[in-house]
Amino acid sequence: MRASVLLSSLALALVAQAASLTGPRTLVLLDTLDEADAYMELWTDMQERHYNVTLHEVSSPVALSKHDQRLFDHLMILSPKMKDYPKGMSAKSVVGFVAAGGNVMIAGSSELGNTIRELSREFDVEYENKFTSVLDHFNYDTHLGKEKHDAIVVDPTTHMAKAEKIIAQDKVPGPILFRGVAHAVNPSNSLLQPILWAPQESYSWESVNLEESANQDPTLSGKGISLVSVMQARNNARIAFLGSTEMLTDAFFSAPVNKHGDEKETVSGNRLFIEELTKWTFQEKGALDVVAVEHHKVGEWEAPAHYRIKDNMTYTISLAEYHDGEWHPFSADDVQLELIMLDPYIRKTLDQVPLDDQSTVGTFTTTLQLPDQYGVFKFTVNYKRPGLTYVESVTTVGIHPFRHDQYPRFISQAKPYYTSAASMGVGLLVFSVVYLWGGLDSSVKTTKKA
Amino acid sequence: MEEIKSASSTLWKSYFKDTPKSLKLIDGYMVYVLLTGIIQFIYVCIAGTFPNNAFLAGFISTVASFVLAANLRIQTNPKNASQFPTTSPERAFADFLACNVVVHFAVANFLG
Repeated sequence: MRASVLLSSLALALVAQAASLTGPRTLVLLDTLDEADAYMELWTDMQERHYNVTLHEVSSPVALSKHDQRLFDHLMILSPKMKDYPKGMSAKSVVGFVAAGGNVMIAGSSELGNTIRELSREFDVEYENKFTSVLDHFNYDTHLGKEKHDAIVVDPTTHMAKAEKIIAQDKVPGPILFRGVAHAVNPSNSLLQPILWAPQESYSWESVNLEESANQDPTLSGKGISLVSVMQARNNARIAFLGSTEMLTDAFFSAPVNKHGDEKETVSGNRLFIEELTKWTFQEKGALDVVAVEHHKVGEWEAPAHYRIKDNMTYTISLAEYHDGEWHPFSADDVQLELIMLDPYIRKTLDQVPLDDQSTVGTFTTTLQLPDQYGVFKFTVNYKRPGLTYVESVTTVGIHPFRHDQYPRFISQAKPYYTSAASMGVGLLVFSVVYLWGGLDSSVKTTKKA
Repeated sequence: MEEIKSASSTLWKSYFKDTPKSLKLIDGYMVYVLLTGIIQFIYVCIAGTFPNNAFLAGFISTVASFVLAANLRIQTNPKNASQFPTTSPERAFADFLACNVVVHFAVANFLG
């Protein structure tokens, strides 16, 4: 049974537009619906940001898509214990959901089942074994992690990725509390990026029989333990992996943090961290759009049908960035233009036109001289930066050679050849005249006749 | 060494004595064409092949002139008369001129 009654639909009806760029429909998978009570603040935050949250327990059937159309825009899997997918869902359907542009957030815990583990492997993320936890005997919270030292305190200034477009440092004021399972990301996968990792003294170990002495080294420790990772697929769908469902709960959102050895009590930064993380994952920020591409010869204003080699031309691209529910002008100093015919012939950084109050888009422009090479070229802006949607703008143009009357008829370097050809002609004339009327002995002819 | 000297001087003398004047004229023309071609080849080695079409046109004009002159020499040589029973020297010279006109049209077309 679908239980979407939790949130007031009245409030949602008043909202004209969702804060997320791709849509408000969110499906949340929970092990049991009773667990929903633990996340009340998360639901409230998401409701304020105009999400249409559907809570769902794994035991009842649900479909992610119908007639090849997504039924949801975002999927949150907060059901680590899940043994089987709900009827109608499968690993393949989740991957298909991502391929269709859906965003996914996956959270694990110490009791993580194989279903989620295998799903994460599809994205090059490997969760640690069942019943292991991230333990730290130095950076634990004296209240929540009193018994097992498993509620660890992570300092975002040192252990969070400096990816301003995903989570800006100044948005997370306090330390982040984490209790759950470690995961490792494939470092050679450039789409995948750890956002939060464990302190140096942490290690991943079985959290059930802590009394027994350890007889081997932990497989993961220190910085090798990723606590939160994000991925942006090539189609710009975003996926977040968390090792802890508990870091999303009310208990962790506003918990006072008493780090072991620290006198001072601080407030957990979990709420703002998760807010920024969900904003990024569910396409509320960091989305770029190519608004316009213009190119023309210097001194003209219309794109010509084709260019000629060595023409001077101007290329302009306008980019807008989506955040806080609106499109804003995008600004950067590293947008590059490439002129490609199999290889890049020219690669040039575009200059940004200074923004003013009237600007709705960020305009990047450059003037350049086309190469001395004719053919079909592509003007490409291939802008891929962490935390931003991928921009790949391709404009195909033809570059023609000079016409026969557009370059000098005679080249000074070729003068010996001209002279030679002319002298052959003159030589032939002189030779013919002498041969015919030069008074040579006519014996040739007479001999022939004889 | 002495023998080579005497052999070459004999060759030289008999060439001047026995060769008809018209064939000597053709030989002189061929030497001139050959030298022009060699000069061009040295120039292209020094200056590079740009512009390639002009080089090809100039060089081909010398090669073609040389080949056509050689043909004319073979066909008008009295000693080869038995091999060309149907080709009179006048006919050979007319062929030579006609082929040269074609060559120079092609060269002029390719030159610039």
